[in-house]
Amino acid sequence: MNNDLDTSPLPREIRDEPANRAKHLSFVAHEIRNPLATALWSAELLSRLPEGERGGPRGDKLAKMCVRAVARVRRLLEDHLLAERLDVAGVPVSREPVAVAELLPADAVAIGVSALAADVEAGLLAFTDPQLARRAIEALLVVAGRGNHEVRLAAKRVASVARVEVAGTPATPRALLDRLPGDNEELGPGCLGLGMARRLAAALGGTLSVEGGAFVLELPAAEPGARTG
Amino acid sequence: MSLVLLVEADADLGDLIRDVLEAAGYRVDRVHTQAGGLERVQRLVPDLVLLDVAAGPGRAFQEALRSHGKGEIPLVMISGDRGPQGAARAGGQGFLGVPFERHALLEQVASMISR
Repeated sequence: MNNDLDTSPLPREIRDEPANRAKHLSFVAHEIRNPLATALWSAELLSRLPEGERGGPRGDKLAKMCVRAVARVRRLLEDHLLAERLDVAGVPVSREPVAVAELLPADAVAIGVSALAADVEAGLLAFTDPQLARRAIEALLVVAGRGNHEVRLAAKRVASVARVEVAGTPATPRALLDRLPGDNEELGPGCLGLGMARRLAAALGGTLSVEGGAFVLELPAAEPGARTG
Repeated sequence: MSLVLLVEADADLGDLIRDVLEAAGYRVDRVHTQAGGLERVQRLVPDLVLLDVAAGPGRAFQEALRSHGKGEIPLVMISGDRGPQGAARAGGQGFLGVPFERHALLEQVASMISR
Protein backbone atom coordinates (compact mmCIF):
# COMPACT_ATOMS: atom_id res chain seq x y z
CA MET A 1 0.00 0.00 0.00
CA ASN A 2 1.23 3.46 -0.90
CA ASN A 3 2.06 5.26 2.33
CA ASP A 4 1.67 8.63 0.61
CA LEU A 5 -2.04 8.15 0.18
CA ASP A 6 -4.23 10.75 1.79
CA THR A 7 -6.35 8.96 4.35
CA SER A 8 -7.85 12.02 6.00
CA PRO A 9 -11.65 12.17 6.02
CA LEU A 10 -13.34 14.16 3.31
CA PRO A 11 -17.07 14.65 3.71
CA ARG A 12 -19.03 13.41 0.76
CA GLU A 13 -20.85 16.72 0.41
CA ILE A 14 -17.57 18.45 -0.45
CA ARG A 15 -17.07 16.05 -3.32
CA ASP A 16 -20.64 16.65 -4.45
CA GLU A 17 -20.18 20.40 -4.93
CA PRO A 18 -20.67 21.43 -8.60
CA ALA A 19 -16.98 22.19 -9.15
CA ASN A 20 -15.98 18.77 -7.91
CA ARG A 21 -18.80 17.17 -9.84
CA ALA A 22 -17.32 18.65 -13.01
CA LYS A 23 -13.90 17.34 -12.03
CA HIS A 24 -15.34 13.90 -11.40
CA LEU A 25 -16.93 13.86 -14.84
CA SER A 26 -13.56 14.88 -16.26
CA PHE A 27 -12.04 11.88 -14.51
CA VAL A 28 -14.77 9.62 -15.90
CA ALA A 29 -14.14 10.91 -19.43
CA HIS A 30 -10.43 10.27 -19.13
CA GLU A 31 -10.96 6.76 -17.75
CA ILE A 32 -13.34 5.82 -20.54
CA ARG A 33 -11.45 7.39 -23.43
CA ASN A 34 -8.21 5.49 -22.81
CA PRO A 35 -9.65 1.99 -23.32
CA LEU A 36 -11.91 3.39 -26.03
CA ALA A 37 -8.83 4.53 -27.91
CA THR A 38 -7.24 1.13 -27.38
CA ALA A 39 -10.35 -0.61 -28.73
CA LEU A 40 -10.50 1.63 -31.79
CA TRP A 41 -6.80 1.34 -32.60
CA SER A 42 -6.53 -2.38 -32.04
CA ALA A 43 -9.60 -3.01 -34.21
CA GLU A 44 -8.23 -0.75 -36.93
CA LEU A 45 -4.79 -2.37 -36.86
CA LEU A 46 -6.40 -5.80 -36.88
CA SER A 47 -8.40 -4.88 -39.96
CA ARG A 48 -5.22 -3.70 -41.69
CA LEU A 49 -3.36 -6.95 -41.10
CA PRO A 50 -2.98 -9.16 -44.16
CA GLU A 51 -5.58 -11.91 -44.00
CA GLY A 52 -2.99 -14.58 -43.40
CA GLU A 53 -1.64 -12.80 -40.32
CA ARG A 54 -4.96 -12.21 -38.54
CA GLY A 55 -4.90 -15.68 -37.03
CA GLY A 56 -1.23 -15.38 -36.08
CA PRO A 57 0.40 -14.05 -32.88
CA ARG A 58 0.07 -10.39 -33.91
CA GLY A 59 -3.59 -10.77 -34.78
CA ASP A 60 -4.23 -12.72 -31.60
CA LYS A 61 -2.58 -10.02 -29.50
CA LEU A 62 -4.61 -7.26 -31.14
CA ALA A 63 -7.87 -9.19 -30.83
CA LYS A 64 -7.30 -9.85 -27.12
CA MET A 65 -6.33 -6.23 -26.59
CA CYS A 66 -9.54 -5.10 -28.28
CA VAL A 67 -11.75 -7.43 -26.25
CA ARG A 68 -10.03 -6.37 -23.03
CA ALA A 69 -10.49 -2.71 -23.85
CA VAL A 70 -14.16 -3.07 -24.76
CA ALA A 71 -14.79 -5.01 -21.55
CA ARG A 72 -13.13 -2.22 -19.59
CA VAL A 73 -15.21 0.45 -21.33
CA ARG A 74 -18.32 -1.57 -20.59
CA ARG A 75 -17.51 -1.87 -16.89
CA LEU A 76 -16.70 1.82 -16.55
CA LEU A 77 -19.84 2.88 -18.39
CA GLU A 78 -22.15 0.53 -16.53
CA ASP A 79 -20.73 1.53 -13.15
CA HIS A 80 -20.97 5.22 -13.96
CA LEU A 81 -24.44 5.06 -15.44
CA LEU A 82 -25.85 3.05 -12.55
CA ALA A 83 -24.36 5.55 -10.11
CA GLU A 84 -25.98 8.38 -12.05
CA ARG A 85 -29.35 6.63 -12.03
CA LEU A 86 -29.10 5.93 -8.33
CA ASP A 87 -28.43 9.63 -7.72
CA VAL A 88 -31.82 10.50 -9.15
CA ALA A 89 -33.59 7.52 -7.56
CA GLY A 90 -34.05 6.12 -11.05
CA VAL A 91 -33.52 2.48 -10.18
CA PRO A 92 -36.36 0.32 -8.86
CA VAL A 93 -35.25 -1.48 -5.70
CA SER A 94 -36.94 -4.69 -4.58
CA ARG A 95 -36.55 -6.32 -1.17
CA GLU A 96 -36.69 -10.02 -0.50
CA PRO A 97 -34.89 -12.55 1.70
CA VAL A 98 -31.80 -13.67 -0.20
CA ALA A 99 -29.08 -16.11 0.81
CA VAL A 100 -25.87 -14.09 1.00
CA ALA A 101 -23.99 -17.05 -0.47
CA GLU A 102 -26.05 -16.56 -3.64
CA LEU A 103 -24.87 -12.98 -3.97
CA LEU A 104 -21.32 -14.08 -4.73
CA PRO A 105 -20.20 -14.42 -8.35
CA ALA A 106 -20.29 -17.94 -9.74
CA ASP A 107 -16.98 -17.35 -11.50
CA ALA A 108 -14.66 -14.88 -9.81
CA VAL A 109 -12.04 -15.21 -12.56
CA ALA A 110 -14.58 -14.00 -15.11
CA ILE A 111 -14.81 -10.64 -13.32
CA GLY A 112 -11.03 -10.33 -13.04
CA VAL A 113 -10.52 -11.73 -9.53
CA SER A 114 -7.77 -14.31 -9.77
CA ALA A 115 -8.35 -15.94 -6.36
CA LEU A 116 -11.35 -15.69 -4.06
CA ALA A 117 -11.69 -17.36 -0.66
CA ALA A 118 -15.22 -17.01 0.72
CA ASP A 119 -16.46 -17.80 4.22
CA VAL A 120 -20.20 -17.18 4.53
CA GLU A 121 -22.06 -18.01 7.74
CA ALA A 122 -24.43 -20.90 7.11
CA GLY A 123 -27.99 -19.81 6.48
CA LEU A 124 -27.16 -16.11 6.42
CA LEU A 125 -29.96 -14.14 4.75
CA ALA A 126 -30.09 -10.52 3.67
CA PHE A 127 -33.30 -8.62 3.03
CA THR A 128 -32.27 -7.00 -0.21
CA ASP A 129 -32.50 -6.68 -3.97
CA PRO A 130 -30.43 -9.62 -5.20
CA GLN A 131 -29.43 -8.10 -8.54
CA LEU A 132 -28.28 -4.81 -7.05
CA ALA A 133 -26.58 -6.46 -4.08
CA ARG A 134 -24.64 -8.67 -6.50
CA ARG A 135 -23.48 -5.58 -8.40
CA ALA A 136 -22.25 -3.99 -5.17
CA ILE A 137 -20.37 -7.07 -4.02
CA GLU A 138 -18.87 -7.60 -7.47
CA ALA A 139 -17.60 -4.02 -7.49
CA LEU A 140 -15.88 -4.56 -4.15
CA LEU A 141 -14.32 -7.83 -5.30
CA VAL A 142 -12.98 -6.26 -8.49
CA VAL A 143 -11.24 -3.43 -6.65
CA ALA A 144 -9.99 -5.67 -3.83
CA GLY A 145 -8.61 -8.07 -6.41
CA ARG A 146 -6.68 -5.49 -8.41
CA GLY A 147 -3.06 -6.36 -8.98
CA ASN A 148 -3.94 -10.08 -8.90
CA HIS A 149 -4.30 -9.87 -5.13
CA GLU A 150 -6.09 -12.77 -3.45
CA VAL A 151 -9.48 -11.67 -2.10
CA ARG A 152 -11.02 -12.93 1.14
CA LEU A 153 -14.74 -12.49 1.66
CA ALA A 154 -16.27 -13.12 5.08
CA ALA A 155 -19.99 -12.72 5.78
CA LYS A 156 -21.87 -13.11 9.04
CA ARG A 157 -24.87 -11.77 10.89
CA VAL A 158 -24.20 -8.99 13.40
CA ALA A 159 -27.35 -7.90 15.26
CA SER A 160 -29.82 -6.88 12.55
CA VAL A 161 -27.40 -6.67 9.65
CA ALA A 162 -25.67 -9.04 7.28
CA ARG A 163 -22.05 -7.91 7.35
CA VAL A 164 -19.93 -8.68 4.30
CA GLU A 165 -16.22 -7.96 4.62
CA VAL A 166 -14.05 -7.98 1.49
CA ALA A 167 -10.29 -7.86 1.97
CA GLY A 168 -7.62 -7.81 -0.71
CA THR A 169 -5.38 -5.00 -1.91
CA PRO A 170 -5.88 -2.48 0.91
CA ALA A 171 -8.01 0.59 0.30
CA THR A 172 -8.56 3.87 2.14
CA PRO A 173 -11.95 5.41 3.04
CA ARG A 174 -11.35 7.99 0.31
CA ALA A 175 -11.60 5.25 -2.28
CA LEU A 176 -15.36 5.25 -1.72
CA LEU A 177 -15.72 8.87 -2.79
CA ASP A 178 -16.25 9.95 -6.37
CA ARG A 179 -12.87 10.01 -8.08
CA LEU A 180 -11.23 13.27 -9.06
CA PRO A 181 -8.24 13.90 -11.36
CA GLY A 182 -5.08 13.65 -9.30
CA ASP A 183 -6.41 11.10 -6.82
CA ASN A 184 -3.35 9.00 -6.25
CA GLU A 185 -4.94 5.79 -5.01
CA GLU A 186 -4.77 3.36 -7.91
CA LEU A 187 -8.06 1.45 -8.05
CA GLY A 188 -7.71 -0.25 -11.42
CA PRO A 189 -10.49 -0.91 -13.92
CA GLY A 190 -13.12 -0.94 -11.16
CA CYS A 191 -12.33 2.65 -10.18
CA LEU A 192 -15.88 3.87 -10.81
CA GLY A 193 -17.45 0.86 -9.12
CA LEU A 194 -16.88 1.98 -5.56
CA GLY A 195 -18.92 5.17 -5.96
CA MET A 196 -21.64 3.02 -7.45
CA ALA A 197 -21.39 0.47 -4.62
CA ARG A 198 -21.62 3.23 -2.03
CA ARG A 199 -24.83 4.47 -3.63
CA LEU A 200 -26.15 0.91 -3.93
CA ALA A 201 -25.54 0.26 -0.25
CA ALA A 202 -27.55 3.35 0.64
CA ALA A 203 -30.36 2.45 -1.79
CA LEU A 204 -30.52 -1.02 -0.22
CA GLY A 205 -30.84 0.43 3.27
CA GLY A 206 -27.29 -0.44 4.23
CA THR A 207 -23.85 1.09 4.45
CA LEU A 208 -20.44 0.73 2.82
CA SER A 209 -17.26 1.62 4.65
CA VAL A 210 -13.56 0.80 4.79
CA GLU A 211 -12.15 -0.73 7.96
CA GLY A 212 -8.49 -1.61 8.19
CA GLY A 213 -8.11 -1.47 4.42
CA ALA A 214 -11.04 -3.86 3.85
CA PHE A 215 -14.46 -3.03 2.45
CA VAL A 216 -17.40 -3.60 4.79
CA LEU A 217 -20.85 -3.80 3.27
CA GLU A 218 -23.72 -4.01 5.72
CA LEU A 219 -27.17 -4.92 4.47
CA PRO A 220 -30.38 -5.44 6.42
CA ALA A 221 -30.54 -9.07 7.53
CA ALA A 222 -33.58 -11.25 7.04
CA GLU A 223 -34.72 -13.54 9.82
CA PRO A 224 -33.71 -17.19 9.49
CA GLY A 225 -36.55 -19.05 7.87
CA ALA A 226 -37.87 -15.93 6.15
CA ARG A 227 -37.06 -17.43 2.81
CA THR A 228 -39.69 -19.82 1.55
CA GLY A 229 -38.56 -20.32 -2.05
CA MET B 1 16.11 7.80 -36.95
CA SER B 2 14.30 10.04 -34.45
CA LEU B 3 13.84 8.88 -30.88
CA VAL B 4 10.48 9.33 -29.14
CA LEU B 5 10.22 8.92 -25.39
CA LEU B 6 6.71 7.65 -24.63
CA VAL B 7 5.45 8.02 -21.07
CA GLU B 8 2.09 6.26 -21.05
CA ALA B 9 0.43 4.78 -17.97
CA ASP B 10 -2.07 2.65 -19.90
CA ALA B 11 -0.29 -0.56 -20.88
CA ASP B 12 -2.34 -1.49 -23.94
CA LEU B 13 -2.61 2.04 -25.34
CA GLY B 14 1.12 2.49 -24.83
CA ASP B 15 1.81 -0.72 -26.75
CA LEU B 16 -0.32 0.47 -29.65
CA ILE B 17 1.23 3.93 -29.81
CA ARG B 18 4.69 2.37 -29.77
CA ASP B 19 3.76 -0.07 -32.55
CA VAL B 20 2.37 2.69 -34.76
CA LEU B 21 5.41 4.92 -34.28
CA GLU B 22 7.86 2.08 -34.87
CA ALA B 23 6.00 1.09 -38.02
CA ALA B 24 6.42 4.70 -39.17
CA GLY B 25 10.17 4.52 -38.67
CA TYR B 26 10.67 6.06 -35.24
CA ARG B 27 12.62 4.58 -32.39
CA VAL B 28 10.50 4.46 -29.26
CA ASP B 29 11.60 4.26 -25.66
CA ARG B 30 8.52 3.50 -23.63
CA VAL B 31 7.99 3.87 -19.86
CA HIS B 32 4.87 3.78 -17.70
CA THR B 33 5.54 6.50 -15.16
CA GLN B 34 6.80 10.04 -15.10
CA ALA B 35 9.57 8.98 -12.73
CA GLY B 36 10.64 6.42 -15.29
CA GLY B 37 10.58 9.09 -17.99
CA LEU B 38 12.74 11.42 -15.94
CA GLU B 39 15.21 8.63 -15.32
CA ARG B 40 15.41 8.08 -19.09
CA VAL B 41 16.04 11.71 -20.01
CA GLN B 42 19.05 11.78 -17.75
CA ARG B 43 20.66 9.19 -20.04
CA LEU B 44 19.03 9.86 -23.40
CA VAL B 45 18.24 12.85 -25.55
CA PRO B 46 14.91 12.08 -27.18
CA ASP B 47 13.73 14.20 -30.07
CA LEU B 48 10.27 14.32 -28.57
CA VAL B 49 8.46 13.31 -25.39
CA LEU B 50 4.88 12.03 -25.51
CA LEU B 51 3.51 12.35 -21.98
CA ASP B 52 0.24 10.90 -20.75
CA VAL B 53 -1.17 13.38 -18.22
CA ALA B 54 -2.26 10.43 -16.09
CA ALA B 55 1.43 9.58 -15.66
CA GLY B 56 2.10 12.91 -13.92
CA PRO B 57 1.91 16.68 -14.31
CA GLY B 58 3.47 18.00 -17.50
CA ARG B 59 4.70 21.21 -15.90
CA ALA B 60 6.83 19.25 -13.43
CA PHE B 61 8.18 17.10 -16.22
CA GLN B 62 9.08 20.13 -18.31
CA GLU B 63 10.84 21.75 -15.37
CA ALA B 64 12.78 18.55 -14.83
CA LEU B 65 13.83 18.57 -18.49
CA ARG B 66 15.09 22.13 -18.08
CA SER B 67 16.98 21.24 -14.92
CA HIS B 68 18.80 18.57 -16.93
CA GLY B 69 19.62 21.10 -19.65
CA LYS B 70 17.12 19.51 -22.04
CA GLY B 71 14.42 22.12 -21.98
CA GLU B 72 14.40 22.35 -25.77
CA ILE B 73 12.93 18.84 -26.13
CA PRO B 74 9.33 19.25 -27.31
CA LEU B 75 6.65 17.83 -25.05
CA VAL B 76 3.32 16.57 -26.38
CA MET B 77 0.62 15.92 -23.83
CA ILE B 78 -1.76 12.97 -24.22
CA SER B 79 -5.01 13.50 -22.38
CA GLY B 80 -8.51 12.08 -22.25
CA ASP B 81 -10.02 15.04 -20.47
CA ARG B 82 -8.14 18.21 -21.35
CA GLY B 83 -8.24 20.31 -24.48
CA PRO B 84 -5.22 21.93 -26.13
CA GLN B 85 -5.41 24.94 -23.79
CA GLY B 86 -5.41 22.71 -20.74
CA ALA B 87 -2.45 20.81 -22.15
CA ALA B 88 -0.60 24.09 -22.77
CA ARG B 89 -1.24 25.15 -19.19
CA ALA B 90 0.08 21.78 -18.08
CA GLY B 91 3.33 22.49 -19.89
CA GLY B 92 2.95 20.83 -23.29
CA GLN B 93 3.81 22.38 -26.65
CA GLY B 94 1.56 19.88 -28.39
CA PHE B 95 -1.59 17.98 -27.54
CA LEU B 96 -3.29 14.74 -28.47
CA GLY B 97 -6.82 14.22 -27.15
CA VAL B 98 -7.68 10.60 -26.51
CA PRO B 99 -9.11 8.90 -28.52
CA PHE B 100 -7.03 10.26 -31.40
CA GLU B 101 -6.57 8.93 -34.90
CA ARG B 102 -3.33 7.31 -36.04
CA HIS B 103 -2.72 10.01 -38.60
CA ALA B 104 -3.17 12.69 -35.90
CA LEU B 105 -0.44 11.02 -33.86
CA LEU B 106 1.92 10.75 -36.81
CA GLU B 107 1.26 14.32 -37.94
CA GLN B 108 1.78 15.70 -34.45
CA VAL B 109 5.01 13.77 -33.94
CA ALA B 110 6.42 14.71 -37.37
CA SER B 111 5.46 18.34 -36.89
CA MET B 112 7.01 18.67 -33.44
CA ILE B 113 10.24 16.90 -34.38
CA SER B 114 10.75 19.02 -37.51
CA ARG B 115 10.45 22.29 -35.56
